[in-house]
Amino acid sequence: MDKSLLLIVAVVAVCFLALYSTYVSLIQKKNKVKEAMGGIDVQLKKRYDLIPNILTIANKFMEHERGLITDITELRSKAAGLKSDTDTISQKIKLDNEISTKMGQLMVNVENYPQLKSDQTMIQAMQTYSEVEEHIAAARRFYNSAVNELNNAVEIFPSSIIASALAIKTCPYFEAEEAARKAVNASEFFK
Amino acid sequence: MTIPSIGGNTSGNDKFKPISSSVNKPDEVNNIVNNSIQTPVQEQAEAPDPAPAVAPAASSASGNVSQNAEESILELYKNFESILRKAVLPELEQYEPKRKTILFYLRAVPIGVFLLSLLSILVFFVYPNAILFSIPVIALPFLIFAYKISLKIHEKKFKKKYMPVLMKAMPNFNWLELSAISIPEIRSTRIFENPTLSRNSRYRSDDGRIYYNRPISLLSFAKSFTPLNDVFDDCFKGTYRGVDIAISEYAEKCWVGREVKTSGTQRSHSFHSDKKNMSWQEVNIFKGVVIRFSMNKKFEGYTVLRPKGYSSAPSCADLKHYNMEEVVLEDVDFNKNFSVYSTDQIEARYLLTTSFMDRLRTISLSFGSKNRAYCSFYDDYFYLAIETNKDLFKLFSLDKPMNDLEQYKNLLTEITSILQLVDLFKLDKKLGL
Repeated sequence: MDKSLLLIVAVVAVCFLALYSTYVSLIQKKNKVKEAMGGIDVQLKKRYDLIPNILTIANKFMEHERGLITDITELRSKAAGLKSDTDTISQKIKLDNEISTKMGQLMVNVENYPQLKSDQTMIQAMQTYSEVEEHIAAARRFYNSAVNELNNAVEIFPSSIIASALAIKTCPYFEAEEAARKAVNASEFFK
Repeated sequence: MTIPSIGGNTSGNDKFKPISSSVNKPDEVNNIVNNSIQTPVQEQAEAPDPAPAVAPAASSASGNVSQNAEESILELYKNFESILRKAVLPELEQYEPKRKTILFYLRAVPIGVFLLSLLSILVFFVYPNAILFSIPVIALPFLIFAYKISLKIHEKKFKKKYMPVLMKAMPNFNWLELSAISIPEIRSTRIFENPTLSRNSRYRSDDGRIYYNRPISLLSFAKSFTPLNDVFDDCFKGTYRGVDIAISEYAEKCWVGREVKTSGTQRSHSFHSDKKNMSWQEVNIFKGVVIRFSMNKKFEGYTVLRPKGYSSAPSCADLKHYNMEEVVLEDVDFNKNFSVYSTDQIEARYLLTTSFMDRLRTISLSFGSKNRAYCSFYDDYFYLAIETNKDLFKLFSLDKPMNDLEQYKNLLTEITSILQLVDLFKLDKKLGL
């Protein structure tokens, strides 16, 4: 076989391998983000399952917080029906931040109800809630890590060309809202 | 809060007092690391009394640890000193003349035989047929071996008698003759490298062919039944502030074989290679202390942290065999110092919170550049292994006076440093870590 033909074949093979490995890497990163989204859903479901229990207990004592309790219930219903996906993740993040903020307010307001503060069921529910929050925080960190890798690949040349050809887009990070930056620690209220 | 000083030592003063400094102040940590890698301890030599010596330090501590934790340690120091002075030292002082006599004979015999050996060698050159004169030369290694065994036996005998007495200073904490953590348990944590599973292990040659690894050392196994046991040494088990703790001085070993090449022939390589052409050598993968803490957090998978960033850093290739994935965390400095692998990415982040990473890095710094930290989270326990490469908890050595307070102070410092890790990592707290 002609040497120049061999050279062309070798160059084409190398280019194909490079393209293929970039493609594989992009798909792996995209799937990693999906896996991370699934992880967030699992952890958030735990929170959604727990919120009604907390609200039921709170309802008995917190007569002046009806508005807040109703808001949380509505937000929870909306969020629970929304599955994390590349299209819905922004909405999910927004809803989740709102729930976090409202739940934070509820925990702060518990301070004003000594009877509720000393209720054993409430104490246990709040401790479980805090633990679930830790799992959610871990799932968010995993999501952000996966998104960081994907976004780098999507935005940096040459993988950006393949990403645009495959219509792979950047994903939004899970960022805490300003109100949620001051994390409320339930354990502080039940010393 | 106290910086741990595992592998370090105290010096100077006859008083027993807790060591103290603020862990939250990076400058102080840096000073400690820079000034004294092996002794990250701030002694308060001018303090007249142990009790007031620690009180100001406790009050100035940055709030990482509650006053209760400082008080527990202070009480422990007081109890230990009281027991030592009342129940242990008076008896040991009576034994002191006997110790000196034993030590004299134990040293005199090998030295005498050594001199005799030198004489024998000279005689051998003059009278090559005088075989009898070679006996001292043959006997010398055995006598040195016997000397080493005697030191160990002496240490063990006195530890067996007096450690339970000394440990009364620490309620719910015991010294054990047998290991507090078994070898299978340590292996199951995956905390140390398994060279047989890693192709790029530091125990193999660059081409991965010349070295072979055997996971079980028959010599170590045989030694474990003798006073020369160097797999496990001192072990402790108990509870501190509601956290179950087990401490084992431990050495992880493996056999490394180098093929002795025969000229002109290409040999086939396999794990079961012909042992005739292999030269085997036992090497330490790890030598230090393994500590097991019970955790308030529940988890199901494995999360392993191994040190990295230095030439002889352990490989993590074996962890991939267990389907563990690398976990890239947000803390860039932490990632430079540790390789993190886990079976569950979310669980790893649940365990390794940002504050936990910060504490682990600070503690790792305080151990110094030679004392590496390994961690594993497995079966609701947190395992921490610190590579000290020295004998810890050394006490009742035959070649030291029995009333030498330095050895007791070192023991206490080493134990309390480990106990204080509970406070540093906040392992007694239900939430956060």
